[in-house]
Amino acid sequence: MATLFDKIWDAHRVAGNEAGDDLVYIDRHLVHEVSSPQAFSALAEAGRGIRSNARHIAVQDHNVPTTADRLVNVPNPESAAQIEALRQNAARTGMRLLDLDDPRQGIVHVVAPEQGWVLPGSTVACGDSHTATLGALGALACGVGTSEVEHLMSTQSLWMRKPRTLGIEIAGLLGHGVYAKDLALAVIHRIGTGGGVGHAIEYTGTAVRALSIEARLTLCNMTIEAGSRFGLVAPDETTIAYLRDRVKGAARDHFDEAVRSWAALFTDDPRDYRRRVEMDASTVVPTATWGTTPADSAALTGRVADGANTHDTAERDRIAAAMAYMGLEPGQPMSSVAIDIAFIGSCTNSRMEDLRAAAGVLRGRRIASGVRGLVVPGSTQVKRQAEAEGLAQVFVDAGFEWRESGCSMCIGMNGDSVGPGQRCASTSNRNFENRQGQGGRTHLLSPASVAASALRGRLSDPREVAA
Amino acid sequence: MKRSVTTVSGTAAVLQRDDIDTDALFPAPFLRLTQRSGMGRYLFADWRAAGRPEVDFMRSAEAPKFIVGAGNFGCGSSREQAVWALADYGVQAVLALSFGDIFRNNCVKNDVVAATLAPDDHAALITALARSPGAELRLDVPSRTVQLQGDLDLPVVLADGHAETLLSAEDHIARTQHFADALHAYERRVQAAQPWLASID
Repeated sequence: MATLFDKIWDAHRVAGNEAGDDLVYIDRHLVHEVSSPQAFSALAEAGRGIRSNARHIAVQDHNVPTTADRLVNVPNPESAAQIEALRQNAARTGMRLLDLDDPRQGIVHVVAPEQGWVLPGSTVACGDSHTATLGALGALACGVGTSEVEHLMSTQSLWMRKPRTLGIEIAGLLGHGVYAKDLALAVIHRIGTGGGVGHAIEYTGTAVRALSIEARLTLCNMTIEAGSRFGLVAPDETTIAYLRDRVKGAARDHFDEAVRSWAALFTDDPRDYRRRVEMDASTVVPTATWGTTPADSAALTGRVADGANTHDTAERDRIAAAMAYMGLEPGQPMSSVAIDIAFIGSCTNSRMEDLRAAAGVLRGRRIASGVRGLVVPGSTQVKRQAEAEGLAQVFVDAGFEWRESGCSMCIGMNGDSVGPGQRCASTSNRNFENRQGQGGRTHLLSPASVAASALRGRLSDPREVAA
Repeated sequence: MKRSVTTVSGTAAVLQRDDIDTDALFPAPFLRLTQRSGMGRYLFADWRAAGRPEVDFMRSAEAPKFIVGAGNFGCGSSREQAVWALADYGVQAVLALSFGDIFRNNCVKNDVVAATLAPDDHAALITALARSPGAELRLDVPSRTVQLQGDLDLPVVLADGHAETLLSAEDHIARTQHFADALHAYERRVQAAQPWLASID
């Protein structure tokens, strides 16, 4: 009896060493401009090449401007040099690249599923911790450092210790106005920022089965914020329907045969997980973070934490430090927290369903004066489709800026950043200190909640502003 | 160049705070740099700019060889620059209650020891270092112990397989090349049985 994770891992185990590590074959490697240049140079210095070019694709995303003139204007010279370095490295090694002018360009974790590159039962790695996103399709997908990127380019494999498995079963269904992002924040709140360390998390249960692939991508995306490198969902009819018209090449040619093989991809018995957690989706409500870790969250209709309520002195000090950084009062109502910026984007929440949810809240309304709104679609393809559906106009009419695709304000490398002391309601994944810009204050929310907060100028439950 | 790491000796700086993430260790704007060397100058750049007391130790001319962190040290982003910065600054070992998994792997790839201590031992170490801040620690990889000058002798835990990697002087790709036959056999098998996995598109 085995878990889904065990089955895929064991099928990709090439060898083992005396220390007990497994050499795991990686079917797909996704490359971006920020974590790859040192890997390419190390390979070149050692006179090593890329083992299997058909298994790699590079995308420009982390550092790219989101302005309309970006093909001719990358203002930061270091960003320009890094983007150019990937161009040169791809050209030199023959690696395929989705460059800034490619109609498929976008955030790597948005592009990869959209293009049908991620298949159930496959292994995927990328020099980015949010690679866990891609487990939504029933794949083993994990983030790696640059040395592992180098190893992967040269050997198409990674040495890893098999993690333990954690099964998170989520019963019930999400209510109206409650989204996968709220569920992800609830999971992290429940198990903690370190709750998944050393584990691979499989999400199961009626709530997960009911999620679309885009929503599953959001849920798996946040797995790393609970400390786990891998998050995954077993493939089902939803997965197959999503992939059918997207797969290309050999996966298209052999699709029916592949689908038959995916029928074995499930966990045989819940007792096969090393650990289990049970949750109920029907108790999840629209949520936002108030602190500086993704576990510091509360209902939008609730209050920020009050350290006085805990007897653990270290935790009390930590909450006090978070309050000071965030500029909040203990026990303050969440709905009283005024925002400066509303950001809709990132590999967590920048897909079509995210934009539709946010536009649904905004349609026919204007965001509060003094709030800067920014929509950065997850891919150029999402951007085009949102324009065709009229969503772009809804955002623009509401007062949002409508940008080109990239990681943008989630990581603040590309010129889109949150200023010192500014407060951002953000659909991204990390509310760490200085994450979106030095001194910036981040609250993590769902796209609908960010839209509602933009309308009111303060953190808001989207159900309270519904049309 | 990979070297064999058997022991680390020197002073320690204490960062007694959970969830110190790699954004704090190495702020994102410096990720635009395309080199691997000289990254120590950006270690904790935002915290130093803000005058945060946690990183007062960095004002000293001499870098500590050890960082003693708390829970979930190095969580968050996979950026290996966090480890390059620590190593370039002079840190050779990080001791903590627990680590972010990717950070911990990145440490061993760069000859930095990332070892955990049991909660009681961690507390004892923090207390001892508070008593004698300049004391010298000695970590021994083969015996998996850390000692504080005639005061403490504590067991540490390395991630499975990390001791072997630290002790080896062989380059990580060269180590894998011993498995070339197995890799080729695997690829032939996938090409025949699951051709849809053999190419991205």
